[in-house]
Amino acid sequence: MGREQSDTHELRTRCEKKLNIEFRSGKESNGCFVHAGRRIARVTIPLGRKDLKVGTFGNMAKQLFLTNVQLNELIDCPLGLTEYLDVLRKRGKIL
Amino acid sequence: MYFERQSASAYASDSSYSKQGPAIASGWRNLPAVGATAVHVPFLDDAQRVVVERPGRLYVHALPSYSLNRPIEATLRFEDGEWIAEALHIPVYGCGDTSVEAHDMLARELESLWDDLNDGHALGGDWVQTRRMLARLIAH
Repeated sequence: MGREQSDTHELRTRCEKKLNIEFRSGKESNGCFVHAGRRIARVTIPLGRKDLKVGTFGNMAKQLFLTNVQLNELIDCPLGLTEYLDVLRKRGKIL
Repeated sequence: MYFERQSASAYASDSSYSKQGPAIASGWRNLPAVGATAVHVPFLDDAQRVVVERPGRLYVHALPSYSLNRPIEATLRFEDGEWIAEALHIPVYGCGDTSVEAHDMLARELESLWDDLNDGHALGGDWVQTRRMLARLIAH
């Protein structure tokens, strides 16, 4: 499932505000989700590609250990930091 | 069976190849069907690196600033109007309007990940294993 109505800037903003991911910009925009002082997930958001295409969207979801549906929920608001931590716990990525 | 090497820029500039995924057949018109006997058909980019060796697979032979002990294998697919190159067993991808762009972004991402994994930050999850894997692949 892609997000024709969303763009890379919106996703980046959601990741920053909801998951406290800090991005650094090079040729691509890379950001890491840090929990308990450890780097848990690393996501790449391509710069200069405004629309979120299906393939890119799916890969970003995978990098965050989310399903496409959950990444949609991150953008649309139901999924916040607490819910994200629950997802990571269920997937065995954090204790 | 032998196929003449073709410049990646040549087929990347072929609009039927670079913009319309299914038209990849024009670039691969001599390939046997999937499952048939493998035929080695390398495509080269402008730097004469092998980019695509068979449909669905892509090999990164060097990173922008590092050489590799052996190529890093990735999947290559065309989806929703863009090329996606996704490394096997390493959570990085590249995308672009052409397979060459996707390959180059993937190479940059692999290097960026390697640098990130060695910046001294504590690693959780599977990152320690990923760093170990990259340490074996990257020639120091």
